[in-house]
Amino acid sequence: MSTDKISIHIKGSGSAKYDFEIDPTITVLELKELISEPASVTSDCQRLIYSGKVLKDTETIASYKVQSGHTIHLVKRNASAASASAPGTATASNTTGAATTNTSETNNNVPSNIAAGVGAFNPMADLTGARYAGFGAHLPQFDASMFNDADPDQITNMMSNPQFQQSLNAMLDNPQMLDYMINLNPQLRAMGPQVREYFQSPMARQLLTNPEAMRSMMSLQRALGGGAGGAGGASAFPAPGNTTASEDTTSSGAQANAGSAQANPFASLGSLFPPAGGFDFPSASPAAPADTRPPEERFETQLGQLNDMGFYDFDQNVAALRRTGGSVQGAIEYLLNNP
Amino acid sequence: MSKIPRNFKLLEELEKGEKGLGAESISYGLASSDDITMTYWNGTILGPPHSTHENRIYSLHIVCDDTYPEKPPLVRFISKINLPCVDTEGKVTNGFDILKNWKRSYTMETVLLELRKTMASPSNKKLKQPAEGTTY
Repeated sequence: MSTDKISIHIKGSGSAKYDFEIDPTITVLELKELISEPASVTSDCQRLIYSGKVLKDTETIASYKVQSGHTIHLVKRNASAASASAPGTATASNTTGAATTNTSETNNNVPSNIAAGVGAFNPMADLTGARYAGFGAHLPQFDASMFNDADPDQITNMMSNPQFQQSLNAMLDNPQMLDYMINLNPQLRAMGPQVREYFQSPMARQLLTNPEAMRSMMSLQRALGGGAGGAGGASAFPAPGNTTASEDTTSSGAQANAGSAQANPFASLGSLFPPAGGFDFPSASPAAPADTRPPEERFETQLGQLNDMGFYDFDQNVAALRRTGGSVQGAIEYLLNNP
Repeated sequence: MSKIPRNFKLLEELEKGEKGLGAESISYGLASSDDITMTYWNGTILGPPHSTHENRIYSLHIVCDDTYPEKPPLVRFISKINLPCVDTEGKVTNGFDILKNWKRSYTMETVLLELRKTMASPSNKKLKQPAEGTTY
């Protein structure tokens, strides 16, 4: 018995799109196997959704009344962002820098060219994945140097941005992230466990997230004159980290370090971020926490407007909006010029 | 401006849902394709990333009765979920802004996307969720 073949579209995440000519009498599992090759996702990691229903492996395509020209959504089961969303597991062991666990190995998105030896837990790994590829060009540069050289007003502005505050808080909430950053920085690593305590203390957090405190500290630092002011500032400034600093009075070297870390949170925060050379996406890696929402949320209103105007291709719309930094007008221009 | 009649609007939504013209994070369609009144719908929401919903797929029932789109549709979660605007039976309550301040121009897609946004909101994204796969 021959049945007419139908053509269907499979829409994955991002811009992935695959077209198939299938016989509707095949089962969902058989379709998944067809998809697995071009999408490079094994059939057991696929979930197919059509018309608001999750398709069951054993059913046939015809039983779901899929028509020619219709679209089935493909969702990958694999936990692509597991490292970012699984805080609170395996914390202490990471401080030793032993690269044993494999959060990143199970992660398909991790490119192999990330600097080796960063440690087992690499929260930036996700950000280098293809789905963030477009971000690099549009987000402001946000690497370590910015903290040291940037105009204080600019930094204060950034600090007042609720989104930045939120991501900073989330970062401080996540012990894995802290460990990871401490590990990256030899200076901080040398200071041992109290660095962690310090960053987790409410005092440090208040200091790091309060733009006012930041501002006063920065002007203080400028007044005292550059890097030397960092250590000097510790005594001049009503010691923010009293508890930890006092333990250290015997070792003067560590004290100076701890002092500057406390007096100038920017210096430490700046150096906490991975050195630019370490990643393929130096600008994207630290910047991405500023906006990791999926495009349909970030550009929700703009996408709605584009839809209203008859631009239905979601992926193209997102691509265009990314290019133009969210300007609908620019996006339309782009869409019209690049049909 | 003249109002789009219920059936035309629902047909348009059906086409959009089936052809996948909307956002990729949600999907919806008629529960039964021979439902000529286009009343009973299924919807799915793919859990937003960086939240406890990540990688989960939530199924919903949507009922667009005769009063749609004058009145909002009835939306009920099939998959168990812990959200302030969802009651103990999975029903999305009137506390949900989109349903409370319903506008004719809203669609089922609006509702699903808005629900997804609610899941990802800072106050809800860390909420402990029932085991995956459990239903009401």
